[in-house]
Amino acid sequence: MVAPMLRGADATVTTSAPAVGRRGPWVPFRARLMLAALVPASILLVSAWFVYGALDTSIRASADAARSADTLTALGLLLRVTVDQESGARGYVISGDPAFLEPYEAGSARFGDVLAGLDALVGDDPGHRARLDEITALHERWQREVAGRAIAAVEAGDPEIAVDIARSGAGKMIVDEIRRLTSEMEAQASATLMARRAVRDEASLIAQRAVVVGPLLAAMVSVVFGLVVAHQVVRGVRRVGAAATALAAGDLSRRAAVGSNDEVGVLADAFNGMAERLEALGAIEERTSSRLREQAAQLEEANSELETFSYSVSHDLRAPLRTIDGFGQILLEDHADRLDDEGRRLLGRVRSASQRMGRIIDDLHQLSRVNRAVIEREAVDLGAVARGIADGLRRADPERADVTFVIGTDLATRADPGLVRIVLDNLLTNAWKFTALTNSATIRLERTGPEVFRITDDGAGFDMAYAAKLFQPFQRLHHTEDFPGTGIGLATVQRILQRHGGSARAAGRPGAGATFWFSFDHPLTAEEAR
Amino acid sequence: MNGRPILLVDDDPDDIELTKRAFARSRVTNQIEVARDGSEALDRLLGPGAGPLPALVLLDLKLPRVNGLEVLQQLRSEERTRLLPIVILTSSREDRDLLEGYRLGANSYVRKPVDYAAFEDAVRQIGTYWLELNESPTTR
Repeated sequence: MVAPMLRGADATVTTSAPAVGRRGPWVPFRARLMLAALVPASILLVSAWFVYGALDTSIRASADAARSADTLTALGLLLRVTVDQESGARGYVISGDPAFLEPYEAGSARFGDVLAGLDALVGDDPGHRARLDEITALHERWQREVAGRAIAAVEAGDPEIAVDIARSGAGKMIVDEIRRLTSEMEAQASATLMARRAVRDEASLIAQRAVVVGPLLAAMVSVVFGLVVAHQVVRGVRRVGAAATALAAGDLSRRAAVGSNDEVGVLADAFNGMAERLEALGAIEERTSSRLREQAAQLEEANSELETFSYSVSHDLRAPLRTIDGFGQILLEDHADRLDDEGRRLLGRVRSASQRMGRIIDDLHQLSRVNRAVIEREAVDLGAVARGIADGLRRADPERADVTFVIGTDLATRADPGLVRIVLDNLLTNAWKFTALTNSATIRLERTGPEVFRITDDGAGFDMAYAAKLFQPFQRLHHTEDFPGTGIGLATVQRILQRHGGSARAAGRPGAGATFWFSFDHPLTAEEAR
Repeated sequence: MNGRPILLVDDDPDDIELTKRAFARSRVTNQIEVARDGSEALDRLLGPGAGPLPALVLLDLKLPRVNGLEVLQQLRSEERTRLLPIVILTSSREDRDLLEGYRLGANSYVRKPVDYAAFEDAVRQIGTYWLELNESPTTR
């Protein structure tokens, strides 16, 4: 199974670093580890098989050797039993004492047993078989022709016959023959015993060696395999780790060079895919960021142009206005006699128009400064500022002593002090202006909620149908003859509040006063402005 | 104080005429000298043909060639004119002009109102204050 190579999702992105793919057949670490386990296991099994075989041989050889030893013992016993019979027979023949017959009898019986035993032990060997048969026959002959006859002769009272038999040496010959055969058998059994012992020893040695070498070899192979596989895993993982660290440190073109087609290779491919994505995103971010910088620079330029323009405007427009107003006044003062009433009236209108233009310029200039100002929030007491403005209004118009200012005490907030002053100045001056035709007017400034304040007056008010125009520049809801004004003040107020993150709302009724809610902190909700 | 002239540094002929008239109507009798730009002003005060020091300098800021703030800086760096009373009289209400003016050592900063009556009143007050009430350091 060859696992598919992983690529980044955006196949159209090209990167500078070469893609590192996987080569060769799919050899997962699972397989390698299994191999690492199987080989030592096989070695152990093989060596166990050897040991088993060797031990088996050794045990068998031991058993066989034991049989050979038994054979030798039995052969020795056979000889002794034969000798017993011989000496018993001789003793009887010589002494005539029946006590000597006992070993003879016993020996005879015994002989058969031993033979049977030997038969069982080595009867399957042809060499031994032949000899055993001969020994059996010889023994029978001896008993029949020699011992038996001699004993019978003695029992019959003819001991000379027995002596003759003994002298003939037939018995000795037979017994010698039996001895010879027994010796041959002993030699063979002995050789067999040694051979079997040798086999046993050799097998034991093999078993010993196998028991040591096998596990040792298996252990070494296991350790070596383990180290190799571990090294392969660690190397691969380390490479990916190093690439990840370099990538995290900022080198987005770094890739993991792991070409092996296994789990680590899969990891490396996944990592490389991720890295390509990051690089692509990084490139996009860089482009976006440099575009933003460009735009910021352009904005900066536009702003500074605006500032220059604004400065020039405020300065250069005023001088001609002053000329219009000034020379107009001179005309009135010095050449009054050359002007009729209508002329004077017309001149008055020229002058008031130029003065009005001056006020508009001042207000526009203030609005542009508000737009450009850097807002520095401080703790501000609106009440203190309002009281100062109220005092100023009273001083400028002392005949309006019937106006009452009600200014709250908990009017602290956080805002730019200069801009706060402009807001309150505009709102309070408005209230002062629009209560000019009201007797004993009351102007209030109070807090109506967290960071929400309200200025109310019971003056001329306005028609709510035109409420949307209230805060727009140059939009006035009253005629200039009734209530003078440039129409910029409320636009400035709203701008200041907006730049603080707050807002303003107004409500009014014609002839019944107006209410202005404002906040330097947050845009007012409908509930807050009710 | 009556013996010394007042130096008016302004490039606008209308403003010059209005200012002169305002001084006249406020009964200031000092002679009014005029410099039409910054370099004329510096010549008049520091140049080789410099006459006696005026009692007061009214300095506009937007002047051709050498502007008002540069003139101010020059005047304050010369021993002769370091303590000379200088009142900045300008249309500008830019904060930075105000701050820079004081930083460079102006004695006062007055905005020229558009309204002529207010303008006359301001000039009268300036005259009264600087020529009569205020004590100037005696310089050569």
